[in-house]
Amino acid sequence: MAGILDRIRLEVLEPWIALGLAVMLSLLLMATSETPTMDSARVHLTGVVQIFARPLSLVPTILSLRSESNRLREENARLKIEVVTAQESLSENDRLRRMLDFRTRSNLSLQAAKVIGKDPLPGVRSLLIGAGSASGLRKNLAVISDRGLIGKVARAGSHSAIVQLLTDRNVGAAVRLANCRADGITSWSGGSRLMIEGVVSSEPVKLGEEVITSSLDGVFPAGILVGQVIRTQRAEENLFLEIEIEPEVNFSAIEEVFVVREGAYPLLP
Amino acid sequence: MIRLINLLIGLLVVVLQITLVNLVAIFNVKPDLVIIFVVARALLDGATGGVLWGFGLGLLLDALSGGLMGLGSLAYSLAGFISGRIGADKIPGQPHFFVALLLSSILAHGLFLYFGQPWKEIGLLSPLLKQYLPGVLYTLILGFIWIISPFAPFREGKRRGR
Repeated sequence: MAGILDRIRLEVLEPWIALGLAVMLSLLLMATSETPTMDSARVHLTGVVQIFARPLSLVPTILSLRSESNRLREENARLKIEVVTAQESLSENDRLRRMLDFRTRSNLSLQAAKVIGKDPLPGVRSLLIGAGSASGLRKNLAVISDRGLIGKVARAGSHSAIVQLLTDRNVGAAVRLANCRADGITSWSGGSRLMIEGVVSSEPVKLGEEVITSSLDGVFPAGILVGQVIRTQRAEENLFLEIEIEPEVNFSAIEEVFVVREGAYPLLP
Repeated sequence: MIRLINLLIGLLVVVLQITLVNLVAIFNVKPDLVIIFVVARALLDGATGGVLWGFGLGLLLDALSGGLMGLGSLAYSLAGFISGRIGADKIPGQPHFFVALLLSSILAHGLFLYFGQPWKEIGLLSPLLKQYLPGVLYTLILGFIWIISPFAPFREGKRRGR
């Protein structure tokens, strides 16, 4: 009789014990989320999953080949025209540079990488890319696209890395407004937009003004386009402006990225 | 052998979640395949099995995200537990699956909303309307399509695929 009661009790209690352990372990993981051991464990797990994810990541590429081909043809035609203009500007620029004895900005050393996975959890904005420490990637390197800033490397495995997007609540970039030269820090405002914090309300910020990285955070190189100002609001009781920007990059349609490798930061303009 | 196959299916679901599911995203809202899988396994394996599946797959997703480690494992463990309790002492059918999926999605996505969105700065309404509710709804629709399909493990009160 006692044995049957014990078995029933165990059957009833078992799920609760399992849940209790799972909750405790999860909370423990949350508390130790940023330790080196945890980082290493995450990197290894990512390495295993990327082996399976890599082949599947080709499917969107294959599906988009036709539209991509058309887009590239159009872009090619446009670029041919731009090349002529650029060559003229380059020769003029060289001439002026020599005249003014300006220091040449160092070129960024970029590592191209394909996106093999996106947003594993709802509300956590990140990318899994197909390049890692074997290609010179490490934590906190800036990640950009041909349009502008995307985010930074959160963790790098040997052949894959996790990228935290600017649209993650834990990521902020030091930025500068291109015209009024005011400095601020980006923060995600939900959806696809970003806010700039820390710009005093006396700054003459204009709508449409470009926002670029300032490199003051020591993570993102200077001069990378982040977006354009689409809304500003001055509140009398607030010392700072409320600035909303539209990012240059469409974060939901990123297929390839470039990681800015160490030692290649340009000088501030 | 069946456990190994289920494990491989679980891994495949995680890989699909981070790769091909992005193709069916509407305004950056996508269905949650992992919670559908965890709910189904919890109904078939019971609450303890549900917690284990939820914890394991959640942990894997945590590792793949740049966010807080433990958030996914917590959310999906709770989802597995609730679903297992709903299916306890009865042969789970389509209504049980749907109710379990509804409650699990509300709870798990609620946790993701709380920890993942900047709602303290922008208020709850915007992320609730733009991400949370559409995400739960999209997951329910996909779950519904799957449960009425021939591939679903619940058929007229019979258990399959244990």
